Amino acid sequence: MPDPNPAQLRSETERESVDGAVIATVAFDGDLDLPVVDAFRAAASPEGVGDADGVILDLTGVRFIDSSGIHALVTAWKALGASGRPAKIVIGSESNVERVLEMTGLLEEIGPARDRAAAADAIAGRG
Amino acid sequence: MMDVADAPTPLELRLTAVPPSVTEAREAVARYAADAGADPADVELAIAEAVANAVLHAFPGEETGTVTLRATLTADALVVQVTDNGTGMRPNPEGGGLGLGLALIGRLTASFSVTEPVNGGTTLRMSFPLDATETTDA
Repeated sequence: MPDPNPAQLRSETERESVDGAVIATVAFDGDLDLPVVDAFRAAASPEGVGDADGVILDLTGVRFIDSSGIHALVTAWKALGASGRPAKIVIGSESNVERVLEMTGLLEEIGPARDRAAAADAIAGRG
Repeated sequence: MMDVADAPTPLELRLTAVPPSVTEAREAVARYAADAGADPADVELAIAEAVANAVLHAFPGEETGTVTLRATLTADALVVQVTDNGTGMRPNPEGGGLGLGLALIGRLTASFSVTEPVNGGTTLRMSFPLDATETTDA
């Protein structure tokens, strides 16, 4: 059976304590398009992330994203927030992800952070 | 402006309408676009949207079919046609997504059109400008 996630999108989750709060960071690397959205959803879901007081979705390693990836990203971001895990998205400046978010009119709504430190501050209410 | 006599051979792909074909199609046409002097980032995203549209909406239920792509060059444009042999343009409430595909294609292309051939399916034709500075002889 073909690999449903043929190494086009890799994810890695780390946890750290920030001012007593557990922040889970899920970092993605590769391309986020239709064939891998299920893998993305699994990694970025409340169940995939596990217990955490806040979540950082780090997309600085994502080279390509299309509207199916954007849909999965927005859905995951909202689901995490609804589950009591406020989430902040990190994207690279002038990246393809930023470009597509801007083109779809979602950049302002998502309000991404430029790096993990800024994202952690935002989750903690310091940003 | 490019001399059409120097244009590379048209690119033709025939793919099964399944999600991995989105990746195969966008990467292949992006490479072709880069060689031709079109913006590969714009082309790659537009092709991903076009093929994903076919995969998600052209074959409702458990059906699947074929998506064919043909990329050709005119004197000042890269033209890509994406054709599926599906059910044609109709709403698919179960398709999911944000409905952004055609809107993105509109922003990425110089022009595009969607037609339903008499023998069925859907054809999406997209035109991308060539970078004049890439095609000007030194």
